[in-house]
Amino acid sequence: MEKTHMAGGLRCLIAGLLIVLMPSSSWGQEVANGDTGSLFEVPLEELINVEVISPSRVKQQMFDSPNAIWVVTREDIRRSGVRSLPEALRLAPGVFVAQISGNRWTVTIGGFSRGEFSNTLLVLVDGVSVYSTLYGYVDWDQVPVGLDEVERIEVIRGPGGVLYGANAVNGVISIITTRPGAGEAAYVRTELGTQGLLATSAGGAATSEDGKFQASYSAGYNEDNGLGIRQGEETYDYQRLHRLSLRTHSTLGEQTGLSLDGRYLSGEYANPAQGTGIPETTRRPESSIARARVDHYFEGGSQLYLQAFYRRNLILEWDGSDYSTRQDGRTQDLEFQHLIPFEALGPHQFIYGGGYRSVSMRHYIIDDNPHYYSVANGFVHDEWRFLPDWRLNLGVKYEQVSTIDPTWQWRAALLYYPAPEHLVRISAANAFRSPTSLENHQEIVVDLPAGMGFLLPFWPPGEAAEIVRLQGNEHLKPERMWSYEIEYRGLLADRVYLDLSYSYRQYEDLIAQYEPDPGFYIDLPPMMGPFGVVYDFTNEGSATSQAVEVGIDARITRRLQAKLVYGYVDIVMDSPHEDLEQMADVQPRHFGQAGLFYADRKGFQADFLAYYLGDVPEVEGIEGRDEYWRLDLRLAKTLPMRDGELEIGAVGQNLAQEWHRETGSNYYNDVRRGYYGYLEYRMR
Amino acid sequence: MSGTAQNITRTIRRRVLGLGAGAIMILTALLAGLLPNPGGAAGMVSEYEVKAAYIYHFLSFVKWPGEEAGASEMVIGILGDDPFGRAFAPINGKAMPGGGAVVRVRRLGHWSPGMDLSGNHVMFISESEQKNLPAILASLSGRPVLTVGDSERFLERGGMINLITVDRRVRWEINRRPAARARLELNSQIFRLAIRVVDI
Repeated sequence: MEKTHMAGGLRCLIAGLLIVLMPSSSWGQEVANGDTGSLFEVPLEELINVEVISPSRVKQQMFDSPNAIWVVTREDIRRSGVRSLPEALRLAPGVFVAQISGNRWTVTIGGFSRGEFSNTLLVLVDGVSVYSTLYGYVDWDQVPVGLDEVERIEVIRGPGGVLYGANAVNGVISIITTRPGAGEAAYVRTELGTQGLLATSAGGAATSEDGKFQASYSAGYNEDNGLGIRQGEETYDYQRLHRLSLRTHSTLGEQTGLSLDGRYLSGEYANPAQGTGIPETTRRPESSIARARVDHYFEGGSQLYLQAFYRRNLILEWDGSDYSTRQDGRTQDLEFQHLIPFEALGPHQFIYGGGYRSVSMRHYIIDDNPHYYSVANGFVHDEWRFLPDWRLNLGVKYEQVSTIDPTWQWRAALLYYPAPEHLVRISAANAFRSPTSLENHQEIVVDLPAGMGFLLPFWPPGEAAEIVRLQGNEHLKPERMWSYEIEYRGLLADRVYLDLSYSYRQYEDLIAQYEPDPGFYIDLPPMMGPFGVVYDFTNEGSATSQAVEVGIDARITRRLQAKLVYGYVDIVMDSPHEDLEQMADVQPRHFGQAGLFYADRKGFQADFLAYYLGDVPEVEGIEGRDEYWRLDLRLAKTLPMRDGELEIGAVGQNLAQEWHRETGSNYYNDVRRGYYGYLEYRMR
Repeated sequence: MSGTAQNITRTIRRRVLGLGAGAIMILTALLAGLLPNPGGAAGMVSEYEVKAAYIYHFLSFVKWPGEEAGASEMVIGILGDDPFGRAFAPINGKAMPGGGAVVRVRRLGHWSPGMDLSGNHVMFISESEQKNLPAILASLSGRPVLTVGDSERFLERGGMINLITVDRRVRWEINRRPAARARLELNSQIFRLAIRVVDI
């Protein structure tokens, strides 16, 4: 029955695609005859309506960056049909993305994922860190940013500690929203799809008459039934989320700008059971960010910015009974950077800066008391163009994290431009990850249930018998990493952007959760199983990893664009603890994505994306899974309206299979085939 | 509900959903073929091809003072890294419509103190020259050169026209004050189509 259904669905899609492509022969002729020289004859009134592909300025930024950087543009996001930030990250090479429930994801760069805890990746929204110091991960479903606001996502593979600080070990994901006042005067978008999907977003932008005050606003609502499937069986996985944001920019005098942002997200979703004894729960998240930033440009070219932000992340959680928990995180941050250009044996761009951040975190797994964490740092960084085709980047950062000894992070990168639009980069850097609040302070105790005391007749009467204790270790050292990279970026034949990179990384003092011997273990008869188990954390692990990443962005014709990204990672772990060994074993080695994006001059777009993820072997405690392909298709048409335009589109996701699992564990949900259609009106 | 009944219900629902989604795809495809043509003039092109076309148009919509107005050549200078590639090739060295002046595009390389910037009617200041922007604009201050850029805060720092990409379309914003200081007369059409006009 399933096969029949799949064939029917695919037939419908193929029929749709054929209808779309039938008239393409005449468009093909237009492409062949296309002459950009004719653009010079197009009147200004019409030129402002010409759509551009893959802004090449973004590529220019990629040539200037001393990091292994890939930029996912607003256009990439729109054309791929993705509906969430983690999905958009699949479009960058070297990023491993797996969906584990309707609203939760694991996103890693360079491996080292522990289920959803990808704790070596730093994520920023307009410079505001959304990394959780509790578990060491990012609550992607609680990042209060809508895709309609995103201008671009900069994905930096490798350490970014010198500029971004602690926990930017394997990479940094910087989400940058549109400039306030830029974009449509107003827009509204509605999506309807399978799994009960109903989503609406609306927003707009305005500029004052004198041009000195600009604002953008956005609001969104999303409800759906999530993935709703695990190993082929229905499961409970809904979500309802709404969000709101307001961003402003004011010009204060000739050389100073003030940006003020506010964001809020709240909702409710079902969190499926993720392991034996861990119940299915309902969560109510609330997330908010307030940010102020002042930029000042001095005569002579130096630039100063000062930024302060406050972020709160609150999660209330029920397990179906009266038992509820509360996770409450608050972050205050103040930072500045000053860029000074000067000449000394060639041009320099010297940056110095510093900041202070304080975090308070409260959760039952860390004894329900607030725990405080603070970071103070200072850094210097210089980019020196010592020869016309050579640049040297050097940077060092001193960081004082309250839970560990002070650390120094450094980076050196040499950039050589053998020809315009060609770059060879070699770099070396270190980075560290500070222990999470969970690793420092975890305290979960499971007592022997009342009435079962006869099992432990020797236990002192009146004392609670602990059968399991999970505890933190306040003396953990930070995990450390050294990275060595070589990369080539080039623009070939003015139409193919190619990025090739290789990295070798060493990790020391990796943190493992383990069962000390003998610990609290009580030697009971074998048929009763282990009682009195204690789990602790320790720095006993080292690893090496090698990664190869390829990114290709090719403009085949004026109407057809192709993208290909591929990543390979191999991790060799050396640890006596199963926890770390397992983490290395369950990392898929190969992952990639290929896309074809077609747009005609009549406003029609047909976009096709294929994702590939390598297999995960079966290891003790992890069931593993086969490799899989995921196919997505988007068809859309834009129609001019009196004051704007209307876009109508349809997207099919995961078309290759009825469902598949993206992680190696049976405790996570499967990703199922889905469809949605949308309408978007944009007023200019 | 029995297991068999559940299976049947589930299968029917999936079939209906599957066919419904396929129908959406076909409907969209049909719309693509049947709905009216929005009349896009040039289809999709690169960002800098459009920016080159804008700069070329600005030559016709700006009036230069004194002898610059009757020059036999209109010179577009590109300062810093050249992001245009071959975008200017179709008009470089060719006369403007109506037998007007010949357009010349000069790649000036990276800026250095004391650099001779004379003889240019339009100066595109590339992103790579951000750090030198105050010095460049100071050296051009009051001279009849239309300064064009495509970088953050270009206007706030004294530039005249900033090209920005907004939702896949290239637009521009204007700072009137430095243009007036340079005695350039900008056609009203440039103001009308600009997305922002400031006096800084």
